[in-house]
Amino acid sequence: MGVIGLAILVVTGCTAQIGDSRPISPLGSLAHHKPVTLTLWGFFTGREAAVVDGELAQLHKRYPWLTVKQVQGKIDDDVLRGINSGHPPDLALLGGPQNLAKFCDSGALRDIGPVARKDHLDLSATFPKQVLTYSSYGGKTCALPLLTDAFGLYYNKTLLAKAGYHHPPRTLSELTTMAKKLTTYNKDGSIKVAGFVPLSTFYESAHALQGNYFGASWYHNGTSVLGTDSAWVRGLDWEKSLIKSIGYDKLSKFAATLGAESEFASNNGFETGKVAMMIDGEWRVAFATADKTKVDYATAPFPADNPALYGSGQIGGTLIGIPAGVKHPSESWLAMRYLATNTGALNQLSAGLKNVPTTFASLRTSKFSRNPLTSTFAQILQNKHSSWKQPTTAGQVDIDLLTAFEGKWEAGQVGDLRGGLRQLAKDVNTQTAIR
Amino acid sequence: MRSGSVTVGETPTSGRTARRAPTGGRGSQRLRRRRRLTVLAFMSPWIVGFLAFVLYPMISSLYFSFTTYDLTKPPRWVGLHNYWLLFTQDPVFWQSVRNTLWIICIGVPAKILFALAVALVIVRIRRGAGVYRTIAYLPAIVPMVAAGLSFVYLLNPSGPVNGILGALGLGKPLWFGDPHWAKPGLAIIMIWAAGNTMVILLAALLDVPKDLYEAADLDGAGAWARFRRVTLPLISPVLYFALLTGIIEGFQYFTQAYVASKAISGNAQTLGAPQNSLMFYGTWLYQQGYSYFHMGYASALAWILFLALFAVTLVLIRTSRRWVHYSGG
Repeated sequence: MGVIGLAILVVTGCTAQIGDSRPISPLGSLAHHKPVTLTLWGFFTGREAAVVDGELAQLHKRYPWLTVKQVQGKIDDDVLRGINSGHPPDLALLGGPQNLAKFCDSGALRDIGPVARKDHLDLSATFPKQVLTYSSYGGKTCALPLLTDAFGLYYNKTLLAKAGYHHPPRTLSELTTMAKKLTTYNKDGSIKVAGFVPLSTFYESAHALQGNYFGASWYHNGTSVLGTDSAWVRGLDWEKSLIKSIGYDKLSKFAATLGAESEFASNNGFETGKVAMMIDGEWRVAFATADKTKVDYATAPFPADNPALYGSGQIGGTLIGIPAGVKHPSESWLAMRYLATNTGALNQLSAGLKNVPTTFASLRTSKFSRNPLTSTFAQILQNKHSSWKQPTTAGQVDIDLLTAFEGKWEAGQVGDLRGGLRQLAKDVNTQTAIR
Repeated sequence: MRSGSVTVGETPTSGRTARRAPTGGRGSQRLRRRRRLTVLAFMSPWIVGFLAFVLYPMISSLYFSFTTYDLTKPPRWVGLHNYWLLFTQDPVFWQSVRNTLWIICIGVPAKILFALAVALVIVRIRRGAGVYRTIAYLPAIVPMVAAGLSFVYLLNPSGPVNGILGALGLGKPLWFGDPHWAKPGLAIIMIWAAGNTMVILLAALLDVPKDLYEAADLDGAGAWARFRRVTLPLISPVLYFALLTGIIEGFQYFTQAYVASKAISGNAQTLGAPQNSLMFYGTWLYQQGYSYFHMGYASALAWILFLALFAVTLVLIRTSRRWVHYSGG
């Protein structure tokens, strides 16, 4: 018993609270400083990591005393382990906003609001509100956006024109009508070309069903409103009616035949003309170019249930933060500020990583915003209704539970949608409470 | 103790030394202490490893299972709340239990039966037996991730397997795209990679004395009777081993399910797709611990798994006396 008691003492002693209240002082534009080497943990690998390395080399040119070494393939829980072990990276990239609230709430990432003010960086004048919303939690700004994703509609101009359409759909009901007309069938009844595949497991279709396009909310005062916000019923009913009109089995077979692995391969259904319209991120333009697609396509905002929402979309991308316990927080801030706000650096990163730039200046000046195919996504980002779901400490669990529920709903395994959504809200609240 | 006998841990020399130095003497005590220290020194790498990498993590996870702990804040004691939640409030927990039991009850026996069938065929081959053994064993050395990805391709609805099924006029399942066919798809991977089980069963079959078959022949036993009365009892210890390790593997089933559900999921974050049909106990535990950072809850899941596995192993060991035949008593 004594040994077990001692072990429990050791266990509890090894789980000290994360926190770091040392002030971060801005260094300004120092030309001379004692040489410092920082580590940046990021999830990027291969070609994308090389793009980041290129910008870190530029940073070193600007501040020859400052070297930032990137460690590739580090995801959010690696960062957390590093912080817990007392050896955090000097800078951390988060793959998306889902864990930001948790990291912010606990102090795992430093609040950079005070140092930004001291360093005369006006966050609201630098970044669109939409990206600041998901990089802050509980009144603290725990990260800066470093490029983002935005989701919009890709449509095959040739197929639409053949069906008599010269504009993309703007409302969900228009999408339904066009999707049905654009869907063609083989002799055996299977789908030859899908107008639109609404199944939540198909490519990025899940993003069409996460509330943005039918104006649904996730939480009110930290409690799930999946069961009480009628917009969810409206959105899922829209999806189901489209599925029914084409046939769940046919759509499932079509999606499975294409295979999920084709999403990021040259046999992508849209790039090969087998899918007339799909929701996807801004990166698809780069993939389609690399794959030399022969499809004549264009991009547009994804249709919305309410015309007032048209032009908006789901957003959410990479964040950069300073972990608690770093040895050189001021130097980390200098590097972080450069990467996230220097227009030249951000434009280079945007061009290399093919993501939406995240400052007003880079949105104005980057090539991304000038290319008609990608500019759609820059505009989506700046639409006042564009958002990531409300950040909570629940992390990814609410999205996963919703996606699993939608899978059952699509397959006809949920008889009572309202009851199912109420249970789903309860499950989300239960999982959120575990923490 | 009889004169001249040796206890475990003592060398014959120690007996002679003991006679020279009467028990209780100062020299003898020093010598005993030194011997114990020597033994301890040799065992110390294991002891340190056990304490640091087995006992400490076990006690830690047991403690965490009674707390809410998300790695960012100190654990907060909640007593049995996590256990109550998982049994009463977590629908995915029960689905993961059902999926895991499916693999244990269907996948594991299918794998053993397939391995036994292959071993029974190979044991009869006279020429080129080594080549066939190697071919049958090869899948076992393919990394599980590679195997999982390969089967996602092979079992694509328009892939080669469905091509053959179609040519034979049989149905073409959606496999990993259909919640009803996803687990059978995984069972096929299990069966395909049964090389390890096949090898030990083959060794057991080769070890069955030929004279027993000759005696059975003389008694007029047919092929089934020979298998039922001679082969099966003599290979039962190996079957028991295969069953026990298979069940343990089934309880901890993870890699193939993870790979398949990731590969077929359009949303890269979703594990368990389609419709949680590939959400096994291990994947749900992983998801809770490493995606949601619910370490306290994941620890409770881990302890339930440990206790269930312990209980099943105990039952198997106890009941094995009834059906496992050990030669020579």
